[in-house]
Amino acid sequence: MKRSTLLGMMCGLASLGIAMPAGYADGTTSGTGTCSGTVGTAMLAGNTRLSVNGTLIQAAVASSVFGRAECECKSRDISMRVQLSGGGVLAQADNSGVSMYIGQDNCSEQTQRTTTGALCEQITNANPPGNESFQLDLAKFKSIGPFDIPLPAEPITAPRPVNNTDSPYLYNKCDTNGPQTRTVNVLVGPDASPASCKLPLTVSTSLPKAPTIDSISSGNGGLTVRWSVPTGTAGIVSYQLLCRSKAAPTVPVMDQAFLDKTPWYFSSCLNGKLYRRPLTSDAVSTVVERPGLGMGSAAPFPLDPAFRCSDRIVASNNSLDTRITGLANAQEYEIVVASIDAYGNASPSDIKTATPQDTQSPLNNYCSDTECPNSFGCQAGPGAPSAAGAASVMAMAALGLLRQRRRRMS
Amino acid sequence: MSRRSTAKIVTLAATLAAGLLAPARATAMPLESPQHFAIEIKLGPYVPHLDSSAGLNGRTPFSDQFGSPTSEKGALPSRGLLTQGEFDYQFFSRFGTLGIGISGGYYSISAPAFTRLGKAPGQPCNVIAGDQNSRAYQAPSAANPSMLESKTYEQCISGDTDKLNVVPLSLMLVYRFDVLDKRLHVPLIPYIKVGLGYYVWWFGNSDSFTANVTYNGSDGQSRTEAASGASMGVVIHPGIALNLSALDPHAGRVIDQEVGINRVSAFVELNAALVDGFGRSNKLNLSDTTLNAGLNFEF
Repeated sequence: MKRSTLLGMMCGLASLGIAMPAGYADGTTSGTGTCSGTVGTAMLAGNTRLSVNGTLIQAAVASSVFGRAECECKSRDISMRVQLSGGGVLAQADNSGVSMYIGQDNCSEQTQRTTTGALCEQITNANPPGNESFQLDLAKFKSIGPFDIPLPAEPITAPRPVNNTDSPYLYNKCDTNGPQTRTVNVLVGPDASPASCKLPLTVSTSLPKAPTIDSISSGNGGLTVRWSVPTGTAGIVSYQLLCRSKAAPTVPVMDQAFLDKTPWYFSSCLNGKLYRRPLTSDAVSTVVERPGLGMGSAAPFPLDPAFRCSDRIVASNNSLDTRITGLANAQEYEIVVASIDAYGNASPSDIKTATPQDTQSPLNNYCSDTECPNSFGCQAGPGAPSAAGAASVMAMAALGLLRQRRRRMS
Repeated sequence: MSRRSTAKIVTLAATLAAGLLAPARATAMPLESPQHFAIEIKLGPYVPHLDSSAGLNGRTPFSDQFGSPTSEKGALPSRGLLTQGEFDYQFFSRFGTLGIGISGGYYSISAPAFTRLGKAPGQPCNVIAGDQNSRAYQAPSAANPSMLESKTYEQCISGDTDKLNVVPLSLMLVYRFDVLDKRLHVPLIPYIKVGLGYYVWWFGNSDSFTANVTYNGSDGQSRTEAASGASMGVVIHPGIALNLSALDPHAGRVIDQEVGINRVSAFVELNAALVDGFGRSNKLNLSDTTLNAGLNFEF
């Protein structure tokens, strides 16, 4: 492929607001890392990736897992998967220490780990709060079998600076002010010159631009919604529509069959639940219980995935439309369009209302009181040929001519 | 007329007749490959005359919905593109070719669906003739359903789309008078096709490929059925073709020897379709008379 073509494709993706994995000095990209360094006589070697509940996160989203919902719900089920290579493990007799830091890229260096204000937070089972199940086991670095190290979400999105005295630290209320780069550093060996397993990540809790609903046209059991974002808006990768009936605002509008086959494509932290977009190859969205966390019940509708009414709509244009089907005629519905960025952050539009209405079938105009012209048969009156009959006559005539010709030739 | 000029005309006519009736002149060129089939691809404008269907009593529902809202009340909607293909089997080729042909094509036209306004079951807008035969819209008043009130086009339509699809099928006898081309090297081939048309149609909408229609049957019970059907009629396609192979005979011979195509011609033909179910009241009128143009490959 020509370099200009490749650049063109990359620019095209960037203009669509699709986040490209960030490149790092060591050649890795966001969401994938390496293990390297020497501990005693052993050399540590391998690679790192992200997993969720023991399943690898697919590469397409690995660079943008940590968004606002993961931070607000302080998720604990996303891990760093370490896969050491043969000959790249510690000696069985090794009893050096192992620790984990999250922060800026160079916080594997001892200086950064002690410099006041540097973004380099040590993760233990006492920090951050609610991380009691965290465990780092040196023994796992002595075999090649893959293992997972849990990553607390809030210090990844907003790591506490070294020697910060805020107690409890607010983690900047999950406000990263745009995409930021972070590195997970697992240090193995002596403090002064440890080997490390690194996992660079990109995080963003900033919300995409909310779309504006331009119009909603009623149809028979459906609504056609048109929306737009200002020209030049970047960062939106897709949209999803949500709706609810004004008469039954707590009941999902769509039937269970639709909900079962349609994932939600944004993440939200609502009423003690983390609604997570699909991260693994099975493309299933999930719900994680996080009691006491997330937005209260005051405004559950706009971003409650239970009210999803459409599949994902790729943000291919500044002005889009789609049709919501399966609605009841003469019932008023509230409609919201959510814009979604690469990190699963979603911004809802203003709520608009509309009512589906029955439409007239064009054929009704041609129906009499007792019959409609919707038949394929001829039902012809006396003397009028039927299609099948006429076709048979013509076919037989052709066959006859053909036979006559063959007889003459022979 | 003098005796001399009469003799000249008789001589000319005899020469022409001899040229037409005599077998093709033997030349040193390689013989043509056998020719039994023809394939055509043709395009042309088309719009069905649905508002001429029997039983409408002057109503023009097709024009009302599928016509331009800025055109006159009852004006035929603009013609759309009808794409067709044809396959012929030629079983006689002594004086021209006679064959049997089948053709099929596709046409569609879309328009916003009309909303049923008011409380269920609701009524769609009536389209009436306004000033200077422009379109005006009326619907029952929300306050007093027995009264009609004026509406705008935008108030009458919904966000849904209705689509009429037509697949015209024909079975025809095809006669091509290619004697001028083959014997006198005049590359024009007049022809005529006559046969039966069976035009399949269906209405689709935003929800489904084939929409439903609900009406009361003869037993008084409400019925919901597919809004689809077919009408039969007569099709006639007189036309004239220009033998493109004759423009470059050498290339024509090469194509024949290499791929077996005897003749490639461009043609224009009248598409006269009288397809109204032979006037029956329960059939849609899909007739139209337009021109088609296309390419014909005989092999």
